[in-house]
Amino acid sequence: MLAFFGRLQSIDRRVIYLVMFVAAAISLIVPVTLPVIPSNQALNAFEAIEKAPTDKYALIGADWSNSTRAENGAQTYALMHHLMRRHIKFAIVGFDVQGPPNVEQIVKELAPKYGYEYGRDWVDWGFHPYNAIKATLKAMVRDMPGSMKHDINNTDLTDTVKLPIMAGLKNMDQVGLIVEITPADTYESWVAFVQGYGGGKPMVHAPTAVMAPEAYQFLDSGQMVGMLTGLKGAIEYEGMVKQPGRATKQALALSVAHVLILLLIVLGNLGYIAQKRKPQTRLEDQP
Amino acid sequence: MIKAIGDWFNGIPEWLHRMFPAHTGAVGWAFILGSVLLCIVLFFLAQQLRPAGRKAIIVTVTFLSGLFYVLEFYVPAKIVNGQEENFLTPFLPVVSDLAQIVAAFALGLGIYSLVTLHGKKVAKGSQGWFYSLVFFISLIAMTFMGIWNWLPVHKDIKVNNNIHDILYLGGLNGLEGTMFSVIAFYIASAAYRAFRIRNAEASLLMGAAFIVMMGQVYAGQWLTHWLPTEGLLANARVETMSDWLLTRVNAPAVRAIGFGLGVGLLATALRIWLSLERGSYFDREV
Amino acid sequence: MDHSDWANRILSLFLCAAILTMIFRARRGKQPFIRRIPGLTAVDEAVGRATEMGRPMLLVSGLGENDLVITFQAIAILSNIARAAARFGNRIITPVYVPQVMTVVEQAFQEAYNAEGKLENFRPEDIIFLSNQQFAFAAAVAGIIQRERVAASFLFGQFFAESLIMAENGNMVGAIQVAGTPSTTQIPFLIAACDYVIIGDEFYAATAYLTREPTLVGSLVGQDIGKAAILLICIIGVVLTTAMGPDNPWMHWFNHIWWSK
Repeated sequence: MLAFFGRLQSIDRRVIYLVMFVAAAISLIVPVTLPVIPSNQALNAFEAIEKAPTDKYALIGADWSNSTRAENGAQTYALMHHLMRRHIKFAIVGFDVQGPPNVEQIVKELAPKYGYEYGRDWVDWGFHPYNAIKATLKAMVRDMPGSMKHDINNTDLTDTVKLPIMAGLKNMDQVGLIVEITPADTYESWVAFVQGYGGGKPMVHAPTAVMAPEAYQFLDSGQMVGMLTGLKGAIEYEGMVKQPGRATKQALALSVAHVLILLLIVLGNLGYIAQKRKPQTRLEDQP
Repeated sequence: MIKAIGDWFNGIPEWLHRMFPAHTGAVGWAFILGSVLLCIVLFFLAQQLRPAGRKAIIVTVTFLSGLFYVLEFYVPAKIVNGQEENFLTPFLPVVSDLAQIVAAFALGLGIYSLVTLHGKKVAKGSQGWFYSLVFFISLIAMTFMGIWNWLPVHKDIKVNNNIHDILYLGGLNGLEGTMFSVIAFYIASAAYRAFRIRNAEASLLMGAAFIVMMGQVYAGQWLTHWLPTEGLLANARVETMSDWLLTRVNAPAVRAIGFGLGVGLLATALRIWLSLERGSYFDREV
Repeated sequence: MDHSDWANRILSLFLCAAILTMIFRARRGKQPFIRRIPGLTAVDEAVGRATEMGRPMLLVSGLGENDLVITFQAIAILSNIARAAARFGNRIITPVYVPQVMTVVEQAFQEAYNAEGKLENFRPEDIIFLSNQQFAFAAAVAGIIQRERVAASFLFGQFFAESLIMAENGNMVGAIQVAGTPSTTQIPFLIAACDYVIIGDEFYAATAYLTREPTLVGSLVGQDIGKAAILLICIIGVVLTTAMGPDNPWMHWFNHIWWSK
């Protein structure tokens, strides 16, 4: 018996991968929706957007690429539903080359439902180099048309005929909300150079689950008002805005994967304990 | 006198605009070509310099570049037209443009580096040359379709959109998502291998990890859903304990590490800014 | 914060003064003590093991495109490892994520080989820019690890989610792995997959520890003085706020003066 448990701490990694694959695949196929209790961070994020002034603009930090579409994409869907439902006008800017096109694709998909029109209700300032993010944000807060120059269609941001939204969006004084969706550390630059402007603007952060622990200190200090933690945050937010989407469908797979990892850890420790308890054969007892 | 110096300084942007007005059309292209030629000449001249000469230029440029942001941040600012401003603040957009242009050079540098590396492999028929050929096909196809589909005349043509979607959403999206999802499997095997209750600290770590993980998913929340949401017993709910660990244990620890890292980053940045680093970056002739 | 306030000015000035003072003091010959950092004492062991196995070593300088300071620090650490590799005659493969630091890496490693008198063994073709896309880079590094069956892997610099891909692949091929990163979120993954991990501040102390260069050692001591000062300020702040309460008029006056611009 001890020998059997002892072998549990050396399960071949290929078996682990296969079990994980089968468990996740089945969970994704089975149409089960799980209830989710929203976290305080997600509730605060929802409240921040619910209370955001509609006569001011929102800045959307589109800093995620296709690799994190499952988490950040789902968060973007949920957040855009809420922003558009509240008729808050917004500008998109990104420091990942795939970020603005990804967010733009989502906005274009949802725009007809809420009557959003490009140039009037939203604008996309496009991609700016990541390794100049600090210089760009520092200049952006003071003069947005001057620093961003043109939108994703190469229209000059001072052309308020083609882009009427820019008539009222000159600098951070007109911004009432910041939403930063990112799997990387761009949020640090947003907090340092944008959020603190003019006494502080409410900032909602939507990181991947891996990056979330580092952001709790900003929640504590009040520099961020709310956070969507990875896929779980997206699931919670979809529930709060009552727009169940792809994140809600993945809730079961998320649960199953977590439980499987915990089970593997328990099995490994059972094997470890059994190995320690195994009677050791003394040298003099050997034939 | 200070005001006179400040006025002179503030007049520099206007002077620059007068000396170098924006040009369009053929004149604009001539300026761009001239700038490129000038850069090539400067680059060639810089290559002829000995390491000591190169270091002098690097030290000077590094110091002046850093000095701008240091002064702009630390020199006291006044409220001008509702915004905080000192004598360097009007130059922020110019410097930001410069920074973005220099940063964009990295894209060209990266492509040059990749093309050189893989080109040599294909030309020599080295081991794995086929994968280098795949690189060139992917690079050319993605670049071509991206630019082709972006041109206004092609924007709405269905075939172009479909090919672009196949390459971008089907190819790149799928491949990047795959690599990210591979992490889930690696986490499972790494956690299984590494988390052993060897001593008291490891047991504590295990317990905390268990609570935090269970607090993130419905399965864990279901375990304690029968407990009240308010009162003393609410603290025994998995999501409450998980939240407490993340906000009251994890956050202070991350903040403490962040303080140390911040001071370390300041020290390293200071050494680089003042070129106090010795033994590298063209310091000695090799 | 758009512009500095007086609190920031005074604190920054103090920190910079402490660091610079200790640097110049160390340069004049007063070498302070640095405690042992376990991860770094394993470097020689890892290099020696790679030499015995006759397999190459992998040196990754991280994905710090935004913060090149961290990447430069990583390159400084890796150039010391390259020097050890040059001494033992071991091959090193260096994938690079940030294209603009490729020449810096080449120069640093060339100097390391030259310092050991083994310049003829330096292979610039082993310093490869792979991609500046996170997962393309990770996939390529994983491929290199599996194909070359590296015996030792050194991951220093800024990492994000891809760190586990590289570390786990290194574990699969049985490589001895030493990692160091200021990215706190990646530390748990690296600890699970690597043999030695240098956490937080030790990353910045690493070059000082390896080289005992006066500038770096002095800088390290200056950093410690700075951290002690911050700790003292935190303690004083906690005691005063607890004793006087946050709504005390003296606290309001102090805050008003301290945070003024």
